[in-house]
Parts: sequence; C-alpha cells; structure tokens
Amino acid sequence: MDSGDTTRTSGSDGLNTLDVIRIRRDFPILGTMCRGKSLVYLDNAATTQKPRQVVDAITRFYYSQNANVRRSVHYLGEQATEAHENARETLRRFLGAPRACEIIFTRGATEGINLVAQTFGRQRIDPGDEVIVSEMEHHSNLVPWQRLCKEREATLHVLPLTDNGALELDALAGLLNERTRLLAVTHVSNVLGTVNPVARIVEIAHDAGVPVLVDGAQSAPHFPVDVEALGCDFFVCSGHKMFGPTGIGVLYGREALLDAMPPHESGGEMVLTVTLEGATYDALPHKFEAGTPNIAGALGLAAAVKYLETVGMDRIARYERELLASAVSALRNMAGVTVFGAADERAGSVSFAVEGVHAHDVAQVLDGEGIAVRGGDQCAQPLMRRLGVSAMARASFAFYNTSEEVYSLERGIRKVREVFG
Amino acid sequence: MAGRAPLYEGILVEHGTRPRNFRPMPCPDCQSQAVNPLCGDELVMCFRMNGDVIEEATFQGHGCAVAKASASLLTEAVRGKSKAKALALHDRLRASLESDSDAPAGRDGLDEVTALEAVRAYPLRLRCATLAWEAMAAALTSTAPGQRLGHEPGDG
Repeated sequence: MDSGDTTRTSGSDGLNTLDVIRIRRDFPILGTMCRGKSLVYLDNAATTQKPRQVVDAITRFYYSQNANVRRSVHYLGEQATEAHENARETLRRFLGAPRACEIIFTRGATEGINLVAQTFGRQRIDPGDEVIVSEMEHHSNLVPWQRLCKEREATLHVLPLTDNGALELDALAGLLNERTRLLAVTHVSNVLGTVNPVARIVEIAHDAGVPVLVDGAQSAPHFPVDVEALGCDFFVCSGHKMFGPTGIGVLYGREALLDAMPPHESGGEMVLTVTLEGATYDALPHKFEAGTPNIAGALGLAAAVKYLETVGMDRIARYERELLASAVSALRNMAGVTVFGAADERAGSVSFAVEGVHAHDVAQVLDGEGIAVRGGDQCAQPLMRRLGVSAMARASFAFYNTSEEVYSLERGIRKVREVFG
Repeated sequence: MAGRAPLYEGILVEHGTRPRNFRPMPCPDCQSQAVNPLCGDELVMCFRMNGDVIEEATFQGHGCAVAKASASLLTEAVRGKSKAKALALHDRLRASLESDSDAPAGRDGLDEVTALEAVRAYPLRLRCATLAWEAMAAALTSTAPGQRLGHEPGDG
C-alpha cells in the first residue's frame, strides 16, 4: 500500500477486529447511509467496493502520467508505458504466472473467456469435437461455449452437480475422450460459493490431453491463486470483483498456447508491420491487446492487487472462511430459511431462500434495512433449474465485512418473515 | 429517498401472498405469458370472453409479491370490463406509475388498483408491477393464443 494511512497487519492468523476497522477506513463507500440505515454491503460477488488506494492510482495516472502506451517516446509516454507494464508484472506475481507475457489485459472475465473461445476455440475445434463445461457455470462461461459449439458443429457436454452442490467429479472421466478439445470450469461458484477442486480436475483433464480454462472471477478476490500450482492452461478474472475498477480484467494463458492462437481483435498496438496487403502481428502479450488499452484500469487493478497483497491473501482467506461459515450456520439455523449447497469448501457467497417469499422481495425488504444482497437468477439459470428454483437471494462477503453485518443480515431476514408472515 | 413509503403494506402484501384467481383456466379464449428475467418472474394470464367482455381472468406462474399482487388485482379489476376498458386501465396505470408527478389528476379511474401506487417510489420494481398487464394487453390484442413475451435483461 502506498498511501499514508496504511493497514499494517502481522502474524499468520486471520484478520482481527482492529484490522478490519482499519481496512474499512480505506473504503469510504462503506460509511454510506442508505435510507437512514448504515450500509451493509453483501453484494460483493456482483462487484466489490474500491479502496482509496485504487482510486488514488487512477487519479494519479490521469493527473500526472497520462499518455498512450508503446507509441510515444516523450516523457509521459515512457511513464505510462512503464506503469502499464509494471501493472502487468504485479498481476503476474499475484496469479503466480511464470511470465508477464502470459498476462493479457481484457475488459473482464467475460471478455477473457470469449477471447479464448473465438481464437483457441475457432482454431482448434472442428465438427464432431467436444467441449466440457459444468452445470454450475455463470452464463459467461457457458454461452460463449454454446455459441462456439453451434458454429463449429461441436458438442457441449455438461459435468453434473451432486445434490450437495459440488461437481460430480466421478463423472468427468466418462466425459473426456479423444474428441474433447477443452474443459471450461469455474473455480468458485458465484451462486453456491462451492470451491471446486480445480487442481484435481486439471490433472484428470490433462491425463486425457485436454486443456482447461478456469473462471477465476469468484476465486481471485477470496484466496491465494497460483495458476502454476493449479496447472490450468487459461485463467480469467475481473478487476471489479477484486476491488479494482470496472472495465479491466486479466486472461492468463500458457505462453505456448497463446503463441499458437490467432489474434482476437486487430488494429493498432497489436501489429509489427502493416502494408496495404497485410500485416504481421506483435509478440505476446500485445498480440491480444489491439487498440489503446484501459491503462488507468490496469493501474487501478494493480493497486487493488497490491492492497490485497499488503493485507495478505492468506489472512483474507482465513478471515473470510470464518465469516462465511458463521453466516451459513446462522442462516441454516433460521426457521423458514433454506441454504443452497452444502459443499465442503466454500468461498464468498451463500445463497438462500425464505419460505414463501420471492428472492426479489427478500432483497427489497433487506434493502429497506440498508442491507445490499442480490436477488434473482444470479446469471446462472441452468443451475437455478437444477436446484428447482427460478431465483434465490445471495449474500456475498469480502474481507471488509464484519460479524456484526452477519447479525444485521439475520435481523433483516427476520424482518422479511414478519412482513410476509 | 429516506422517507419513501414502505412497499410491502396492506393490500399489496395481502394480494401478493394470497393472490385471487391464481389458478389454471381450461381452454381460455385468450392467454399470454410474460417473462421478466431480471427476477425470474413468469406469469401466464388467461381470459374467458363473452363477446367483447372479459367474463373471467385467472393467472398462473411464479413471481415476486409485487408481480403477483398486480396480477391478482388485475384479474379482479378487469372482470366484467370490455377489452377496450381493460386496455385503457392498463394505459392509465402505466402512465401513473411512470409519471413523476404526485398530482392525483392522472390517477382517475385507478381505484381498483390503487395499491400498486406504492411502486411509484421503487422505480426498479416497475417491471414487476406491469408484467401482468403487459401479458393481458398481448393476450387481448393478439389473435394467436399462447403468445409469449420475452424481455431482454436490463429493460426495466
């Protein structure tokens, strides 16, 4: 962290109350009063709030560093280019990628997945080939593969869920065969909070010679991610879900795979030589970053990642695990409340239903108490169908949430029951 | 918005939790389904006609309290009305809900659905309140039964 009011943390335990009080000071929005009530922000899986350090980094860029990158030889051009490449290096370190050229800046996880589908997918998937996704995917890791398979006349297979809301890992081997070209799976369910055993999944897929794309939108904000340890071939995440700005995200891909893939968009920035007849493309990572990139976004994301590193991802993970476990157990113990999913390992989110009350009404009554949760299909309609509902309410946590806020949620749900009693 | 009136009160909660005419209708003269993917609401409105007059209206499906209350109030409000009067009620309701004005002038003839006025202070719930009415308008103006109305996320 690089501003005056830094959060010093020590030890290997989770965060303590004092740490969290200090952390909350870095997030001015958490002091918002909503309709006369203190904000209780539990919609972090939709988007997270931003610390001052992120906003400061963006402001600093526009006030003192703004120039286009990799074009202009002047002072500011040099400053901006260096800052942008430093941001890439920060993300490489955060995700444990071996090389900075394997870090592609995108608009977010959705663009990262679409990029892989439109380049790797179109190049490698022929009629009769197969792609595997899971039944718990967010629409963003499902619809691009549906479109691709339709276009390429390939088949999309679905790895099913257990009744606990975990992946049916035993079914995976049966889905893999010599026509399988890719397995795309989420690291953490945005609905159930289930943490999938991605390293094991990768192992099984690789044994069958199948590369794996991991949707890390809901994992990178909550616990340490090491793409090398996971062994995955692609990993995507979204800046705005990890305390950075909107409109920026990262695609990690193995260098050999990225090198062999055709460019996604074309134009300036991604070319070496251009004639009226054709062009040759720049090396990684620039081949995939056509046009002027979201420089301020990349710097903001790097500031967010540095903030997380300063607090410590291990400590964040330990603190959040306890907080989420207390929320899950509190909800489970409430009369008329059903918690979805019972996977052994969870992160970030818990989805629930209040008996006889539509999720949208639950969210609306909670809003009246200053509590922000999501109510709806959570962008995972096939999962809703699997669970036999059309919508559910979701409380999703970040390391700035407190156990008092879990109590507030409990009180809010009691209020829901009163209103619709 | 600190002072806005509560949404869930009185008639709206009553109709939302114990909706009237919430049942299937065998062989309706016209029906239409409306879907709001934002909150998973899905309502089917069914109508039995006697010439131009709505003899009976029922609905089925699932939705939030606002959507169900609105559908329930609709089924009671339009019974015995002509097509034209039912459609005019829809227009007046929509105009009232979308209006910024607090003046009561625009709300004449909305007595039967006055409980829906609370939604005016909750613009994100407007779609929930109008869903049943859109389905009704589609059903009454369409010659083809079983029409389905789809809406893109973000349209309301």
